[in-house]
Amino acid sequence: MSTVLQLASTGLLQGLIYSLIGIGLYLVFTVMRVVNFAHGYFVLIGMYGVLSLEPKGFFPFLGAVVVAALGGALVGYLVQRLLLESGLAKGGHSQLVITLSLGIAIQYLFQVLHPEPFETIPNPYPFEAFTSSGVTISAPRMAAGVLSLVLVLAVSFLVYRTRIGTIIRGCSESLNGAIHVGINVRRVYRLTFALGCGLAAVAGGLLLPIQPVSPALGLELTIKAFIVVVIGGAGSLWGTVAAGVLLGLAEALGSLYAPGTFATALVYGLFFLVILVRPQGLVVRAASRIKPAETSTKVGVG
Amino acid sequence: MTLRNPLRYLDTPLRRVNAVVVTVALLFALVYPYLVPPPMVGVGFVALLYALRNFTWNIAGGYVGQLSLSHIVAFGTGAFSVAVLTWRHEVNAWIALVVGVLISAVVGFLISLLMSRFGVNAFFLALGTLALSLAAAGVAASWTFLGDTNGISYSGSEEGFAHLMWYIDPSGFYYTTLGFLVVITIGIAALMRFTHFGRSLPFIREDPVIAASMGIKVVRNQALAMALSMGLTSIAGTLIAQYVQIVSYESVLTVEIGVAMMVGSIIGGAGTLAGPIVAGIGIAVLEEFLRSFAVSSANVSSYTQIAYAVVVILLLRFGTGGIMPLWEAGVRRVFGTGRKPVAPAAAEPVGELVDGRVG
Amino acid sequence: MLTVANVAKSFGGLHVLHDVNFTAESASITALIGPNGAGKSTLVNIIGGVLRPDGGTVHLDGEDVTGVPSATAFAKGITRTFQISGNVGALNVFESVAVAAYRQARGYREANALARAELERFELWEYRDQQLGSIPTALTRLVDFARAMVSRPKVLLLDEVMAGLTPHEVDLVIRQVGTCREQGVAIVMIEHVMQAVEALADHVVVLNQGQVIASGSLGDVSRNAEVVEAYLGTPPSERDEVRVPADNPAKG
Ligand SMILES: Nc1ncnc2c1ncn2[C@@H]1O[C@H](COP(=O)(O)OP(=O)(O)OP(=O)(O)O)[C@@H](O)[C@H]1O
Ligand SMILES: [Mg+2]
Repeated sequence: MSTVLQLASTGLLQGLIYSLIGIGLYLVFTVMRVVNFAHGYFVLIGMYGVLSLEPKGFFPFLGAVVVAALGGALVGYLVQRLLLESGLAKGGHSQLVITLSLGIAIQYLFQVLHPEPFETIPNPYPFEAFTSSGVTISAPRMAAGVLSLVLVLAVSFLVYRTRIGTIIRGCSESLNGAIHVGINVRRVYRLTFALGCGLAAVAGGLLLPIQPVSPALGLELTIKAFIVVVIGGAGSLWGTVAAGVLLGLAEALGSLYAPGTFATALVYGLFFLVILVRPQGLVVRAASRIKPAETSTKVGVG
Repeated sequence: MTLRNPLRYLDTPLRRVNAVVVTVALLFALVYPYLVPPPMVGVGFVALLYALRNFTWNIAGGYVGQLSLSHIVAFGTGAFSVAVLTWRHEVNAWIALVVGVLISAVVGFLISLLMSRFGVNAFFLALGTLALSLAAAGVAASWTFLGDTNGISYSGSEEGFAHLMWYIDPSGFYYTTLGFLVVITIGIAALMRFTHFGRSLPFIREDPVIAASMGIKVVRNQALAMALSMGLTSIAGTLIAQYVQIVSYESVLTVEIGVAMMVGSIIGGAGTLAGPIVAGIGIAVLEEFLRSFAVSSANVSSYTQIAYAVVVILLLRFGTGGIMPLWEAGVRRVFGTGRKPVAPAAAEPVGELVDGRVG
Repeated sequence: MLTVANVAKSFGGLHVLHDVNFTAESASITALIGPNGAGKSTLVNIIGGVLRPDGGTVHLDGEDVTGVPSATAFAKGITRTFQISGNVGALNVFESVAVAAYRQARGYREANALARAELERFELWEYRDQQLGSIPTALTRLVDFARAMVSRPKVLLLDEVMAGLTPHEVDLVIRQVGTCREQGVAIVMIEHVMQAVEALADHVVVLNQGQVIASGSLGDVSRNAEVVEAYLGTPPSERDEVRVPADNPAKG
């Protein structure tokens, strides 16, 4: 019983990190219709960023996370501005290949810079572990989960309660409408992309003390981010958050019944089925938003 | 059937230049193993294998526009079928090759059929096939039948074409791959040029609605193209498995392989015949070039991956269609188009005369 | 003979067609006219299998072809042109016609021969090597027409093929449509070019706001009060004959 409880609580905390990664992608994917296959690699940027700053102690660590986040956001801004913006009107294909290739480039850049796999940093927090009713949670895991939750709440506040959020949602609902009322859509897109990437990098920084980093992690995290966003549906941010927690729990509890690689295979297989059977069922709004960009060039139905 | 002068096809400078280049390249490819030491023959084999891999991806990915990563599964199926059937159970390697092709083709047919039946768009196709490939890698990593994390190693003693195996001299692999590449290229070129099926593929890629209104069975042809594409990709997997004599999920079921096929075709020119081949050979040459600078072998693959990515990003960013379109434009520029210029576009019609709507 | 009976279609809450009935006889030309947004293209899309009707039936020579897929409709002999040419810029002119020729042709040579003959008839042969994106838009509609014709259809649906053509090209198309009628094809022609309707139409069907409001000879329908109102937005004046769509505003 206590094993289950133990796994459930680690799963929950891990899931909150997935939620944080997921909402970064959610913003980019549903608001801007950009299919960012490099998202997980921005988590990697956060992880390696914090790693290379070698923070000693709690406040240096927080500072390092902030620096890494700003770095991730800056890279994201530049990617959007220099690489994706011009192709935005074209939709799907070129973005997909560009971001996929970008991810690969980031992965192998880190491969060259950090050939050692599984690097990590010692516990930066001023406490060790929490134990209660037979469940032990290490300080970094607890802190990462809690901080992720705080950030998720902050982002949802930003999206649903502030003027910036209104503009972002406006662009996602009706691009033409936003253009009509004089919103600088390009700038909104650049900032949204930067925000999404910055959130991914923060998640990476928080993840580092728990999960040693290797360059290959980027792809896995990208897929997980997509799982979270697709399963969560594009209706609201809360779906994404819930799906993140669900993924964390499923992973942790799944490890009880199946060996590691097989459990992941199962998750991917299920995800494949979801895409196959209900791509629009689970992502009603995302699908309807992705389409116009594509069908607008394919009129045919005069 | 009357025999007509085959040279009549060479009616434009571009075609003539291409014919010369292809002839020279083929002759060079034939004598190459006699010109270089055996290790370089191995490099030649790898180059041709990359070309074959890109070329087969291009059938579905380039001609039909299905940005698929399920070709990873096809590549892996080719490798594992020879590992399981031939290395473990001593089935002839050629039979294993055919089995791999058939399994991959069926998988490809089903994936494409299911995805287009459900109206899955290009993005979900890429995401879904990526998930499928990762799932396959996970299964291979935890299933002893597929060698789990240890992989399967070659065991056998026979050599020669009948067994698709050469121990010392890689030129057997080289010529076999060259043969496959030439036969498949000619076959696909003929298919694309002479059959209803092949000619329909660009229409499906560009506009499925119009394609259907021309009597093209869009869903069926898409699925057939995917089956053909993945089936042939499996051959490349079988060849590389025989060459390196070890197969594991880490060596043949990685996303990098899928991305390399996709990106290689795009760099060469998606939907062109020669582009994926040129890009495949080019990337192998680049790898060898880096190696000659005494870059460690782990870093060679890193640098080539980065080079791949940077080149494709720049190509897409600046909107060129890859190497082949650039080449064609260049040749036309130097030698002219060889066709009479088309009459200048007709002047804009006088609205009122023809069209009651012009106010 | 094409028979459309009680066809209805709505998009979301928007009722685009209700209870549309008409027949197009073989070897005759039915002009389908009506103001912008009347639902003409939607009707063509339903007959051609691009859209499924919400209700009603479509019969071809007595065979029910309601809601069959486009490819099947084509195989049965229903061909159409597109008002808006879609994403065809990268496609080759010759191939566009040759691929459609496979309805009749048994192989490569035959398909190419048919395509060549058709392109020559439409004076498009010189464009054969070009991409559809690099020829004038009006000509892409001619290619569309040639593509429809090369399949030797039973029913030909022409959706504004003449918009934007030069007078010479309009004459060419009028001749081609005439030839096509002689071959026994049932032709449904959506057209705003009155010159063509006058020259060709055996029968005119007027569609307004998704309903057939008049049908008969051109003379009959242009004297019909409802038709005049639909076009002019006002009740008919004392004039007893109005040149129907002469006032049809240009599209936005
Ligand atoms: N796919 C669609 N979804 C929603 N509404 C549509 C769709 N297609 C057409 N409509 C609407 O249906 C109505 C009829 O359109 P249709 O294209 O059939 O008109 P039309 O008679 O061909 O007009 P035109 O002379 O401008 O070509 C229009 O109001 C149009 O906006
Ligand atoms: Mg219309």
